[in-house]
Amino acid sequence: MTTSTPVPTILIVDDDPEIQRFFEQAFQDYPEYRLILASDGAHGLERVTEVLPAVAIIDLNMPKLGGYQLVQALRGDPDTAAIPLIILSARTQAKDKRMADLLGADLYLEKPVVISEVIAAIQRVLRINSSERARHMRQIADDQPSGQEY
Amino acid sequence: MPDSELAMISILLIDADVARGAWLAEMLHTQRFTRQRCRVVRFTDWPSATLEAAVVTIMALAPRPAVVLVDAELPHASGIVHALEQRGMRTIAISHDSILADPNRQWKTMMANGGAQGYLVIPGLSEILIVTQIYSMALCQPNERAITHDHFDTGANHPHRG
Repeated sequence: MTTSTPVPTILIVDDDPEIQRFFEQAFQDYPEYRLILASDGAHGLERVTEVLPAVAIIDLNMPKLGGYQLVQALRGDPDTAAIPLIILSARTQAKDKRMADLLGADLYLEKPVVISEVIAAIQRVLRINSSERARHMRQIADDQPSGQEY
Repeated sequence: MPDSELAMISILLIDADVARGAWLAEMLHTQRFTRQRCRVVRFTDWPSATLEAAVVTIMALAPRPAVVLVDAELPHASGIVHALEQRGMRTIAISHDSILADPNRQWKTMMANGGAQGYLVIPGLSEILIVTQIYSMALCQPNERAITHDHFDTGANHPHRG
């Protein structure tokens, strides 16, 4: 049994090669994290089954499985429901943020981002525990007006 | 949309596991959040002879369910999901098998191939997560989902970024 602290694995799920290159380069300055990439939602879910990440950063508009679907799958499984999730999207409408919130995403970042924003977000969501998340979800549920579509 | 339809959201539950289906329907009924907003219809005698019969039965329901929960173990489950999604209905797969330990990759069959919008592993998931996942999908408008939703055979040249 090793006594060294495990390096947190950060999963980036984004189909944009430019975004993938950005993170590959940017994370070279942050050796305290291990970066893994996935090119769409289905690939992202495959990666989760291989390496349970400490945090997943998820784009919304992707082929195969979209970001909402990926968030639903991860939050819908007791084995993955506690993984901190950050949405990183160019979609800036309030309804997207509300949807992400209701599905259980912990943070919503708008593209474009700088790496310091992403690192700060990772550090923030790593501090959220399951009971806090459950409390937040219940608060969101209670705040939903009846029957309102968005 | 009439106020009466806005007031209560119809959820169709099709579960091959009778005990789980009963528990899920009861839970949705007793949770304050969904009790005030949702009406759960449960198929206990599933017309599963053919895929076509199943889809016709579901499509004939009035009011049409806002979301259909489909047991991944049902005959034709991914076909039913795919057919309903193609007709603009919202579906969530329910399963006993965790994504992490699923040897048959039910999540892939139901979500990536079938097009289900969600995947709920029950039992084991907290009630608040179950109800918020179901309710959020019931509220999600079909045109919003269409932006993020592609199947394997159509996703190669997805035009949307971000």
